[in-house]
Amino acid sequence: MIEVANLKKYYGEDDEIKAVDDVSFTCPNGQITGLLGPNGAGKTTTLRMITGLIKPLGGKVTVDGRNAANEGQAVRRLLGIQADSNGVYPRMTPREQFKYYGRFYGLHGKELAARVQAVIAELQMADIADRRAEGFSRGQRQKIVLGRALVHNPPNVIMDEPTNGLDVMAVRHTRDTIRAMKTQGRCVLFSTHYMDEAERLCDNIAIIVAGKIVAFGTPAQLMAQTGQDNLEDAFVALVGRDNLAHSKYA
Amino acid sequence: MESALPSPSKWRVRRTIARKEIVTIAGHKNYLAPLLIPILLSLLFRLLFGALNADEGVVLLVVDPGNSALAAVLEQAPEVEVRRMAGEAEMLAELAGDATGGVVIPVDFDTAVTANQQPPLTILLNSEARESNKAILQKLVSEQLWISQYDTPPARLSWQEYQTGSAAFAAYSVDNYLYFLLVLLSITTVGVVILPQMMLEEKEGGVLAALLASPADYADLLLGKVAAAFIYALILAGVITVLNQGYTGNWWLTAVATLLVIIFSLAVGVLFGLWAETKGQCHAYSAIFVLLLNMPSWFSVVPFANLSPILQAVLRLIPTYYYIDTLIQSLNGLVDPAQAGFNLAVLLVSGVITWGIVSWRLRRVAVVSI
Repeated sequence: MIEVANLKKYYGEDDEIKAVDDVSFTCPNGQITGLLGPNGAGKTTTLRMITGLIKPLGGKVTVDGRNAANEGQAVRRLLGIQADSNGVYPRMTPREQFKYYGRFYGLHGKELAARVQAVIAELQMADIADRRAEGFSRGQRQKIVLGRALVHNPPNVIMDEPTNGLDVMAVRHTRDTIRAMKTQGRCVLFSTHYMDEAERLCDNIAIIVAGKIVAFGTPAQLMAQTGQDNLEDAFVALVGRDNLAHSKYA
Repeated sequence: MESALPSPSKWRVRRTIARKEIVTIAGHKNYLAPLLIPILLSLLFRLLFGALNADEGVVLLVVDPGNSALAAVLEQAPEVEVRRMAGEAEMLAELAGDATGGVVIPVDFDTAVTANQQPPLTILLNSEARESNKAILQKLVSEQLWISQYDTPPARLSWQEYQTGSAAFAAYSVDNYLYFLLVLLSITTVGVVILPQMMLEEKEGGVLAALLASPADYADLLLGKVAAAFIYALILAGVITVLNQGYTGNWWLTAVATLLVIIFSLAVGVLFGLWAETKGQCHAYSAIFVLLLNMPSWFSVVPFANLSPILQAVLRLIPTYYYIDTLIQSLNGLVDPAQAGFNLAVLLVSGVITWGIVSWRLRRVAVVSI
């Protein structure tokens, strides 16, 4: 379970840019929590603070009861991260990349080989597991990124726009993988731009605008709260048209 | 779900990164080619100059008033021609000619050996003899004969370069010049060209965020890459030293100076890696820096003292000047302890200062751009 309380990150000489401002929400185990917001709303900054890539100005992140500020290394072992840049090592095969990352988490020997094989099977990539990643499609690269995040079998998974730029089949596969994570009892937190994706996948949705959480609830609760009959209209109503003026939804 | 993975030690993480980098370099033509070129050039020059000097054999002048068993054993070795001399003065005079080396075996040498007293034995090497011939002689005496004839080293062997020609010019053999060029080129290529490229791999490839979100942090990544580059630089320097007989003379001084210049070179490379945003940007500037750092080796074809004062002053501003000057002293057997100590100190201080700048830069850039 991931708990975020009063998280803050300001930029600028006088902290005039409030990238994330007093953000709080909880992502329970066995559920998928979506983080939605227009471009520049603070989604990626929030996720990066949770994963320890950026130090927060204030607030607290707790993962399975462990405080990220005091137990950073322990928290990292509890998290699987899919960052927004889906880069891979082009000269390494997926299997080599999974082994490489697995070793960072203390896996080795037969245990590591077994986990790598399990991930390859789970992501249905046996046909490409031993090919160099050079020239892989975006979908194939995304599988490597997901595999790296799952190789140590983390109870919590964080993904930043996991389906961004993927073709239909790759999107379907990624969404299936996210659903499987939920079935396995993992806590899944991900950001997305796609309303239909959030509506189909998420148990809970946090809507973030200008660094603040403006709404949190199930898709049905958010629609009921705004009196809209679909999530996209509910989102627009909650975010406000002014905030969307410079985003991709405008 | 519960994750009960053990906490990997920092060294295991760094070792994992270093191992991956070593494999990456070995399998990447862009990295491997610049590393192999100095080795191939060493082999090529060795073949060329070996052919030019093929008629020169290994000659050892022996003064042996006690008719020792050692001289008898050496005479039976096909690789060396032993010429017996009547006395030390005659041997030294002859050493100025085509001889590779000379030795005065004490009268009571065999007695001392039998009594396990390990008597001292100094073999003089003709400073103008071919480096390869000197190497053959050293190998023959140090390894083959002694190990096969005795269970333990029978004597405390030492080698001394004997200055037979003009003191100023004797050190400047083609063999040495090529060694200086190639060893410095190899070390600086690994440090200043390849290491920063390795550092930029994650940044340019969009892998850095994923890696930093794992238990590995940026310091682990950096140390792993530096360790891999250090191993490559050490191996390359070692291979080139062996191929070019750079181990003759004061080999320990050569080894210490080489280690210090590697450390300095890696620090320069890390600075480049931290500063540059792209491999292309890094490549352009690091190439200029490699040329600059290699300048002292180009000018070592003549004694530094014969260069113009301005050029000398410029070269003295480059830390690698002190490396080349140390190698010249070391290989020539003309070590001035004060000057050699000063050279090593300059190399050490250059390394410490550059690593200090790296440390400052790392602290200043608290959040690595991802």
